[in-house]
Amino acid sequence: MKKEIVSNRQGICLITLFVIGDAVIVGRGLEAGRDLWIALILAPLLSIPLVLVYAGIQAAYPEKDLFEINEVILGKIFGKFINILFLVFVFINGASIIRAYSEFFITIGLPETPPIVFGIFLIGLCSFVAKEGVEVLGRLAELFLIILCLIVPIAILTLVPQLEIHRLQPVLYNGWGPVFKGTFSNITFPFGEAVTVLMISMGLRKKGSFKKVYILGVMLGGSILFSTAVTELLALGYNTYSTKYFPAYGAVSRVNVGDFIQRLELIVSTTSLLAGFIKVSVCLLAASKGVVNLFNVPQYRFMVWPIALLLLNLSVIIYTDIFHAMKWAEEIWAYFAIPFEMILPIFILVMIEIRNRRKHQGSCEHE
Amino acid sequence: MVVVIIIAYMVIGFLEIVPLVQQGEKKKIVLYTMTLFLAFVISLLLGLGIHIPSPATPIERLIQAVVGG
Repeated sequence: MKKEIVSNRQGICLITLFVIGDAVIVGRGLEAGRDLWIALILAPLLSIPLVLVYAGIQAAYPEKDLFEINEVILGKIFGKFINILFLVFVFINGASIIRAYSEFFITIGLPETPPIVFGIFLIGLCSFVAKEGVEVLGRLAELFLIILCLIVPIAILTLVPQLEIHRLQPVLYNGWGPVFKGTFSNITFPFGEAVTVLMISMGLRKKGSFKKVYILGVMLGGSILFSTAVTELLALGYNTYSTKYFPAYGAVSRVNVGDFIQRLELIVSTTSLLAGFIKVSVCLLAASKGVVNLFNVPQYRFMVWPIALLLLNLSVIIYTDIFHAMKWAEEIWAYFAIPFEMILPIFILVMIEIRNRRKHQGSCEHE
Repeated sequence: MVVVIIIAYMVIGFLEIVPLVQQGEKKKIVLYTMTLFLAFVISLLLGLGIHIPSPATPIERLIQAVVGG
């Protein structure tokens, strides 16, 4: 089986787009209230240790994915059990992203269309990409990030006349407590999900640069999320921001430069779909690799289409409506994600370290 | 709607299973068919308008029981 290798830059782009994902269209970290922007500065910084754990796991076995690593480290049976848990996480995550985009397009302009229609097109395109593997995904990410980096600053700059700094004041009116709550939920929602990138075994051309790639990716994604969220807050004010399901769309629809440049929201929402496309593809790839690994079959490419159809069906049945989805995202997701994003990766890294030390000791004794 | 679903799954299955049969790998064919069949059943039930319980609900209950929300 041939190795799948991406360059450092493609790796950074992939992680950046994965972190941005659907986080750029939905309002997140609402617990922090008006001080959301502080939470969004703290969240990427505090997720660096977490990301270092992921990079450590991947650096120990650069050519394996998380499912294979689990089997090597934790043994066949316990490893498979952990893999099933990770598969549940990936399936629910992927289905939620597809559902978020479906709800987004239904809410903003196509209320009569059934949600599955958007899912069919999104998952259809994603499975073509996922079938080609990580390399194509890396190249696509490189291209998409350029487009995103062009459109996002344009949208922010055209919004400047609408921005008012007093909408952020008073700063820290409720103290630091809510800010830390918002930081926590932000770590679990976009940043910690980078654990999914582990599952697609993104091999890098230069070995040993995993830490750099993971940290730079998360920081770049965090800065884009921070700039968009601050712009939305300054344009809408917290009260409007918190009542909207999709504040990015609401903010951009206020663009009005000299009664001439207006209605940019469709361009921006289409651009945000690029990041979601990468995120769904990564989840799809991870899910197919996991399922294939569970049944000890060497290749994953043939499983992409059935897994894609399963994800599509799951995205329809997982939430009853947008209220259920929002409740899940606000109340349940943070706690659901902790074991997969924090506890299990740290546990796996510790096991890898113990194993390495033992091996080292063993080789010393032989000498 | 149901007819469309059946035709769509038949087309996908035909396009993908034929190369697998030519390769002659039994394990892959069994795994592929089972997963596709699972997806097909869920799609068919959705197409017939039958309510399927969400897999998110038991997880929700579990987390609420642990966290106490």
